[in-house]
Amino acid sequence: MATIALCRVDSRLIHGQVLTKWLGQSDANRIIVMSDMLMQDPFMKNIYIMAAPPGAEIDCYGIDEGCEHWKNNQFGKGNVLILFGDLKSLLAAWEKGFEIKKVQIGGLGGGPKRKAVFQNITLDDHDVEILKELAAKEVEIFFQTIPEDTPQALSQILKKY
Amino acid sequence: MGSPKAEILILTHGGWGEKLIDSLKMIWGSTDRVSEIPLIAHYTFDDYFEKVKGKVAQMAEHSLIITDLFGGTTSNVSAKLSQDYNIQVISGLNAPMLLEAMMSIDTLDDPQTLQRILAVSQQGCKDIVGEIRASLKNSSVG
Repeated sequence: MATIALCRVDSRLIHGQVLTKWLGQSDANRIIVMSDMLMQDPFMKNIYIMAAPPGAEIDCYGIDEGCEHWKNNQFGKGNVLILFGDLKSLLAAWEKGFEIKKVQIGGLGGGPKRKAVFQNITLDDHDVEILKELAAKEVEIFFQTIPEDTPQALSQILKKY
Repeated sequence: MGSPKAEILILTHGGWGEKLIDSLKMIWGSTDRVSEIPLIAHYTFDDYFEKVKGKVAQMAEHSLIITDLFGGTTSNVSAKLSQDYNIQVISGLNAPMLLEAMMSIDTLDDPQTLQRILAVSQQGCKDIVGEIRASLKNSSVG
C-alpha cells in the first residue's frame, strides 16, 4: 500500500503552491487527483499530467475510480499527495470508503456568498455543513495554504465564520 | 490596413511581470503591444481563466503568452485557452526572454521565432562566478 503523505483540498488542484511547496515538504513522489470534473475535461487533465515535475508521477481519477483503487491496493506504491478540488468530492470519497483521517484545506475558491476565514480560504454554509460532518467522523481537519502558515484547526476556523 | 498586429501577454503570480515590462521600456522603448494580467492570490482558476480569456479573445492570431512558472495556474490557464485560440504559450519568464520576444513581435507567426526566444532566454542563465573562473583558468594556461 502507498503512504499518504498529504491529503489536500485545493480548488486549483495542481498549481504553483502545490508543486513548489507541498510536493517537497510532504516528501511525496506521486500526486493523485480525485475529481469527477477533471475527468470530464481530458484536455485539462493532460495539462496537469504534463506539468509533473521530474521524479513525480501524476494520476487523475474520478471519485468512484479513485475509491476503487484505494479499496484494491491503497493506491499501490509510493508516497502520495492526494488532491481534491472541493469538499463535496472529499465527502463523496469518504462515503465510498476513502476514510482518510487527516485533511488539509488549502483553498476552496471564491464567490459572492463565501466568507474568508483564513488567508485566501473561503467557506459557505454548504462547506461548513460538510466540514462538521467530516469532523463528526473524527477526521482531523486543518487549514493551511503554504507550509509557512501555522495550521489552523477547524474549531478555530468555525469561530470566524 | 494589414492584418491585426500580434501582441505579447505576460501572466505572473502577483503581477511582477508589470515591473519587468517597465524595466524593459528603459532598454527597448515602446511596450505598447505588451500587457500583463496578474494572478492575484484570492482568484480561483475560473476567475483568472475568464480574465485572461477576455484579453486573448481580442488578440491577433500567433500572439504570444509568456507565463512565469511551468505547472502554475498562469501556465495551466494559458494551456487551456490554447484549445480554443490560435495563440502561442511559453513559460519561464525572464528579462532576456521578454526582450527577445519584444524585438521579434512582428515575426511571431514564424515558427523559428519561438525557438529563438526560448534559446535566448536559456542562454541568459549563467553561473557568472564559474564563467569568470573558467575564463581566468583558460587565460593562465594559454
